[in-house]
Amino acid sequence: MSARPVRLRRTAGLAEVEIASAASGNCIDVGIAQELCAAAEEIAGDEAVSVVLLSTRGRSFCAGADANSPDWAAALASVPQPVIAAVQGDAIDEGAELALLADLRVCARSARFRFSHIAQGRLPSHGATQRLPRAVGRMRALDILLSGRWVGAAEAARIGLATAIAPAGGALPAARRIAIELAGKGPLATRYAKEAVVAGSDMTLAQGIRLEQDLYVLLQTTADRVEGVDSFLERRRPRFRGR
Amino acid sequence: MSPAARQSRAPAVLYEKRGAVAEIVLNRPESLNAYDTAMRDGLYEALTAVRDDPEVRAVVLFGNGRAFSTGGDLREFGSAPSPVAARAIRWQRDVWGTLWNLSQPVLAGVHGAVVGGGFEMMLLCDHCTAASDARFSLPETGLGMIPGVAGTQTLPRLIGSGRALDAVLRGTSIDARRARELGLVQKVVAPAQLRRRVHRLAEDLAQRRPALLASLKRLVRDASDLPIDVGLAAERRAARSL
Repeated sequence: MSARPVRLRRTAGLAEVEIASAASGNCIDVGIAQELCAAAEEIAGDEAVSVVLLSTRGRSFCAGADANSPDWAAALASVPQPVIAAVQGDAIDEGAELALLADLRVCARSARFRFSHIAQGRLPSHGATQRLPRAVGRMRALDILLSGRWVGAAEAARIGLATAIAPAGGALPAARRIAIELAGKGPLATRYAKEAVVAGSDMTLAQGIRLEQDLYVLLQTTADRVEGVDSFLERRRPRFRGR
Repeated sequence: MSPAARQSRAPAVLYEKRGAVAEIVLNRPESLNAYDTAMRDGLYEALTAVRDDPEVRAVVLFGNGRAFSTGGDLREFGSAPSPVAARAIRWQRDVWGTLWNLSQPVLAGVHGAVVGGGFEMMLLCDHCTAASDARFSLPETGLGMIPGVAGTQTLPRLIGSGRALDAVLRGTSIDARRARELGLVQKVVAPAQLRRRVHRLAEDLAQRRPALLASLKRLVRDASDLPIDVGLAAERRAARSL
């Protein structure tokens, strides 16, 4: 087995990225950051990958990051496929920002989030000021960022920070089930759906509707869309091929 | 005339003015109000009638039969024109832009299946009341498609990015109670009460000055598109002029 701190496995449309640095609480050091960037680039360029599962090993999800690491957040944000994070334990500071980079967050009941940047006299710099309000609303985001308090899994689910809850110890299997579920859908459709939601939220509504419509029409030219409609009318499971 | 022939002649959309309230009813119950070209044309006609009629001060929207609407009629998809032509038609007869841009408040009353384009149609309205049997979902990605009635844009603005991605990517089914918790619908009522309750609300709103409602609707709607100082200035300007 590889001793590398970031592992990338690809099987049947699913790419699994695992940070395996339990001894350091999966803190993102320079080496891990470099490997995250490389993994993100590789996944983004691999058309056979339709869903990404992001997980970490050990009790802590991710305890933070070293300063001056390469920009792992930008690299992960540029992955066009849907990304699902399995959050099994504490996600702290940059670790919480890492979880926020995912499109879906599956949290164990024991998982907690904490953004303590302000208490440390610094600002978040890996997206929390932008992605947290987009996920939970402006006032909740400010409350969480200003106080630096713990946000448990139950609250995370209530406010939309967690998109699914799993029993303690069950985040990874639950996230994998969702990943496999998504891998059974149209891979171009799930990419474009992500793009429409994420890119569209940076636009005015009218511009976002234009983007959605153009992606919708582009999908009409694909074999997958024909297969989707045929399978529905024939009452069978679709077989998508990503073209 | 056979029942089937009579059914095929029934208009896909019913439009009726009751005083200052316009009622639009989706009327393809045999297809669970799936959206086809007949419904598109009927809706466009009804919505432009509302747009151009200053007597109409509020709009209610319902579906006849077991479901509010199950979205695009997949049986029509094979016969659709080329994507290039479909795109041109989409903007020539801009049903959804017309609905979104109405100056009158539009109140949806939904029940049963509220799926795909039917769900998205509801999200373009200003207020939603759901019957307790309503169920909401966006199944498009499972069919190799994405939502095409602005749902990828309206939903994240209403419920946040994570929840919207969950609904859009997974097609998760949402029941009426959960929809109220999420803020997708404002009221849940017994199915037998649905139309009466929505009409009552519409009649209340129809008593208000139309210009006031139109301004409020525009200001709130544009709030997410504008830098706040621009939105505040627009609010002050509108308040002074009314």
